[in-house]
Amino acid sequence: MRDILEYRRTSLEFRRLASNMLNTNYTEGNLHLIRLKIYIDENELISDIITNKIKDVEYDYRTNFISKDGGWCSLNIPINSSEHIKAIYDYLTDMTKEEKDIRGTARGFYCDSNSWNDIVRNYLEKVFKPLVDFIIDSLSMEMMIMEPEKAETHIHQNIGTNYGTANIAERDINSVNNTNIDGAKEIVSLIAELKKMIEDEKIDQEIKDDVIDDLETVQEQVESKEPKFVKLKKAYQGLKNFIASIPDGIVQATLIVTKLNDLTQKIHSFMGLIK
Amino acid sequence: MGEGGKVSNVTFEIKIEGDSEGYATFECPYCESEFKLQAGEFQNENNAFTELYCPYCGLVNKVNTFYTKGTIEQAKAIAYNYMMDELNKSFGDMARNLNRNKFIKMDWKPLKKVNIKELKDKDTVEETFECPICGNHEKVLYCAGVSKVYCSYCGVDL
Repeated sequence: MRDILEYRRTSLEFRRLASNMLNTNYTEGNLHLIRLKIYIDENELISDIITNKIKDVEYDYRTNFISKDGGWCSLNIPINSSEHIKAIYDYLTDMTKEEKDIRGTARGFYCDSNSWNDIVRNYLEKVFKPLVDFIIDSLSMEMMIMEPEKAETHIHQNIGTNYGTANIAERDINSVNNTNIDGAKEIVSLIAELKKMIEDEKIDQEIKDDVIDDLETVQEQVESKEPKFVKLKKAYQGLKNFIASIPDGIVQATLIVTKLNDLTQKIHSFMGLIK
Repeated sequence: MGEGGKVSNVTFEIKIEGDSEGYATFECPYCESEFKLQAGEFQNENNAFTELYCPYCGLVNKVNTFYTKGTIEQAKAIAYNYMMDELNKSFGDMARNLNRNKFIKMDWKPLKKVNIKELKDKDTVEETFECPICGNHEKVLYCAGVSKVYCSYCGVDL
């Protein structure tokens, strides 16, 4: 069973890569297209979404998807959405077989601007944006199915070794409490992963020391029998600041931000109960 | 500028009056949907945001790409008026100098400036969301169970 965190992480990572692709600088060629294609193929959630959409669909994009009329290229978008997705995916596959400059292809499509960046972005948006939208919407729909409790205004509370759920209704309040040590364990495990990842990154030592210090403070408080709210809040704020202004040059930036977001979400719930 | 020309950077301030709760409107560069962010949070000096996520499509881009068409028009109008002021000043000086001469006279009409509209956000029917991760707020048009909404600051789904 896939959990919602996996979907959240995938959605965030995919949206970042898709945004980078749509904002490609002309000097970067098809680099971001290749990165996006690799992510689509290697991520199980997304590759399953694509496979389910285009399986048994017979459509060859080479025949009619892109046509040339009066010097400009135009897209003949199939009425059937599965055929459209298949056409874009197959075209993406061909466009990412090798690293190349995409200005030649891009300038075949009419663009209001004469700037190379605009021409390249206009082409990428016209051709690939429907695939990006389809994947984002599909991930969102899966997430909505997995979290029906949001619409019912449920509040989940983690209290270190206690896990409580309060269902808020207009008339009655039902509260269920049971014990669970997974919450604290998950925080500690995430911290261990993050510490290793951040230590491996080549970033300013002072920034690195600050974020490691905040992570250690969180771990210390989570493992403590009497966690201090103020200390936890300070460390939580420090981590949030790090996320908001993540330094340049971090190789695994997306993964680190995703894990930090997971962590801060857990810390936030934890803080709500010790306040 | 050509050789010998001077390039100067001039900074202009654009004021946008928020709605009754202090929310200002932004527009996604990808899907062109509008949403609102609380001015105090957006301009928080402790958290200088360089990027924003669209709450509707979830895509990310630099902050300056999220300004509304109205804001961009105002920025252009302010820059245009500044340019007109500078040209009028130069021509005024030139005319004063030439008109002291008894052989050459210069007559000129000052270039007209454009009106600058006040940017003001009205109260609308959006729903306010608070991000559980970063604690910031946003106002979006939302229909429960139909679509997802993302935090404009950290990009997580709300």
